[in-house]
Amino acid sequence: MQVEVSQLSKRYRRNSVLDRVSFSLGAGKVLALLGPSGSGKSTLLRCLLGLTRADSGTISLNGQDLALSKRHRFLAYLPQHPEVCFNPRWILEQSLLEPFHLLKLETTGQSPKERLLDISRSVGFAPRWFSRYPHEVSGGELQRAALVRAIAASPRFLLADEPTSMLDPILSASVMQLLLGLVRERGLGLLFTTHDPELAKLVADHVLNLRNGKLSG
Amino acid sequence: MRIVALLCALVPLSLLLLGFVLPRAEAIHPPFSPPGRGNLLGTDDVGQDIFSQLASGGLTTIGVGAAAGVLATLFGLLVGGAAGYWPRLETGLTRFTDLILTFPRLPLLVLLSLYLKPNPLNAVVVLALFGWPSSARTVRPAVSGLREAGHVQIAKSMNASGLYIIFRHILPQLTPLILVQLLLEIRFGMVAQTGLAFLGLTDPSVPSWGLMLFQAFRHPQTFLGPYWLWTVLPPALALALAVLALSLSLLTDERQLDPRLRRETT
Amino acid sequence: MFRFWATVLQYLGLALLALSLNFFLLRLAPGSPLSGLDQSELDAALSQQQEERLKAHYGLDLPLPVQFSHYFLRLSRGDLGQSLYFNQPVAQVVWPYLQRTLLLIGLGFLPALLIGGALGMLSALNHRKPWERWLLGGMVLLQSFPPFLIAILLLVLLAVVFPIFPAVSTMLPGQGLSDRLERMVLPVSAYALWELGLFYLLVRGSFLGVLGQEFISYARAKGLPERTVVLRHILRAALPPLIARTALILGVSFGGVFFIESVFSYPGLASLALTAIARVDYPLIEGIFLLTLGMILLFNLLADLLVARFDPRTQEAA
Ligand SMILES: Nc1ncnc2c1ncn2[C@@H]1O[C@H](COP(=O)(O)OP(=O)(O)OP(=O)(O)O)[C@@H](O)[C@H]1O
Ligand SMILES: [Mg+2]
Repeated sequence: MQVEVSQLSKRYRRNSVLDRVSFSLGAGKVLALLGPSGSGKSTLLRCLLGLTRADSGTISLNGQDLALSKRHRFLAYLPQHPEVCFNPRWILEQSLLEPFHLLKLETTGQSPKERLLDISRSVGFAPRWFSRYPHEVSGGELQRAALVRAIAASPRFLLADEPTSMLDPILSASVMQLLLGLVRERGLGLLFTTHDPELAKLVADHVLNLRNGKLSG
Repeated sequence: MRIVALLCALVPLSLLLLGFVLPRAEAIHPPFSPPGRGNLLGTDDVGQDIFSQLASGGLTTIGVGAAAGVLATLFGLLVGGAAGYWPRLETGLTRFTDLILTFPRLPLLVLLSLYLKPNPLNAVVVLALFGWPSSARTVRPAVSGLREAGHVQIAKSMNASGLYIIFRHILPQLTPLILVQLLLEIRFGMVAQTGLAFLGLTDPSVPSWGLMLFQAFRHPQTFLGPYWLWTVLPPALALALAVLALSLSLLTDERQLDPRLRRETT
Repeated sequence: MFRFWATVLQYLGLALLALSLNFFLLRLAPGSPLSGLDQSELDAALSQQQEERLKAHYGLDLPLPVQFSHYFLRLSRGDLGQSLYFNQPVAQVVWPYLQRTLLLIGLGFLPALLIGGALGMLSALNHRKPWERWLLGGMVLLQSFPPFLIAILLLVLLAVVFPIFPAVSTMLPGQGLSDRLERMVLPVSAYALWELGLFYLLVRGSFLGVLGQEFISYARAKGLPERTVVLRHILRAALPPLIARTALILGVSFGGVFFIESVFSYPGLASLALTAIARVDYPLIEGIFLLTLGMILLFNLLADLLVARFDPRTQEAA
């Protein structure tokens, strides 16, 4: 299974943020999107997810055009700042169950809650945190919760926006490890953005260099 | 503070409740009789019982104010929410809101109440028509801020519909804001209804606190004897307590205290 | 420059909207325009024939667009029509009443601005002290009170319970100046009290906003004495938006002063308007409405232009 992006362009008013970006991401592969601040990394992910409408370009799955309305079945999003990614008035359990409601997932034999417990166990998110509000858990715990929600819907590809930028080194390492573990165990394709060339080289099968919206190398 | 607000609200609210049960005041008593036997708060210049007028007047004033306030808040929520949520509508709706807001409300209210039948229903419609822009103005930035919030983006990336996001994610977080706005709008509705009635621009057969004041002020004897004590003071104090109750419950909200955040309203 | 004309144009549009509203309300409203008020009197007075003749006289039998252009041309000549009750041109009838309303606003505005402004400044400089919270609370409550309620309470207190001032502010031809002034004390105070809270909140708010800005902390860090900081830096930053807001409040006060006037029977625009309404004097009602609206819009326009002139952010956009 493979996602291909070709000639994706996006401009805000007069400045071009993404300029004919093309690449592909296969199942079980890790792709790092490396670039300085403002180079268009987040914009690229948002375009892939359909959160921002790209001006031109196509996204296809196994050679077939992937319509906006079908993308969410295959792509999941792990956003940059987990602290603002949970509804502050919901307990975490409610947020974590949201994918099941929104995507109307059939969970064979299991209730959504049981499935959630399974996933939580695998990323080290303790069930006792379920009944807490987002401000009542630590940043690292929240990052794990975000991860649980992202993979709850069994996506084929995970788009993570600077998954470690807000965390201290130890936590960063453990989150990165978790992500790589998911790639290995579930055959997930991972695209993550980062400022850190070392990290990109260390964990990715392939590194995309984004500069002023253009890919190089 | 909350307790004082509640105490103030006690009088207007019990008048409202009594308004439902007490019969309409009729001119069957001796005119200008002082408070006491038979008439708890005395009678007015034509011999109507003041207390029953106060009760049925409360029903009109509070009822019109509340209905207009609810309508105005809802409409403001609709316009402000749409402008905040759909960027394409933002400029147009914001312009429109500002336009209506610049329009002086009071002279227009007076003019409209001249041309429309001065019944309570029309009053509600007209008051709501001029009340909504201030709500829209408060709601829009709050909604457009939440539109970009992470949990909204996540829900969108999972194919959530606009309605789902508005009703599940955005509105619940706005409840405190909406509540404050509602109280403000109700206050405006009550005050404006009383003002119009005080100028004699409402139906003279529908009792209200403003109408009581209008009739008391029109009578030349009112301030020449002790009559004002029971013809002027009760409706004036009832309105004052109602306004005070609303204002006190708003007082704890800092936003309300910064006049730069809202446009002056009358 | 572009912004300037855009603002002016927007207000012209608003004025046009007001004019059309006024025009169409009058002509399209079902039945007699004053249908809600005492109609029987009117019906008896106007026979069918008379009504027809009147309609023809006022051009009410012409098609609406023609009427509208006539109406517009007439207004653009500054002709507000002829008052039916006073049998004089509307402008001539309105002028003395308008003067008295302006006098009332002017006399009340100054003390409200000075006292409210001073208290607001004091409040901002003593932010979060306990007494400041109480002052703030009191002022918020004061400005939430409708003007007619303030007027009524003032009247009861200072003219009836303690009969210091006259309760009625009617002016008669023979009155001397001191007598007239005495009669103005209560309406002016009611108006000033009503505005006091607004000005207090306004000044306090904008001072707090400026105090929070960085260059003030910098001036303080430089060791400038507190009074210099206040006077030079804060005033310079806070004054322009304050002036603009004040213009806005002046516009709004035309609405509030209406009620205060009618509490004290002060012979200003309000009492004239109520007379006009009672006498079913359409041209006069229309004239007063347009005049009031025009004043308010003018003050609003002034406020908007001032904001645009002084606010660096809006200047940048221009
Ligand atoms: N809604 C928008 N309107 C206008 N310009 C935008 C918008 N969103 C992003 N941009 C611009 O697009 C460019 C790329 O932004 P983007 O957020 O994709 O950068 P990034 O690479 O993710 O940066 P960072 O590493 O800081 O997160 C920036 O110059 C930004 O100013
Ligand atoms: Mg980014």
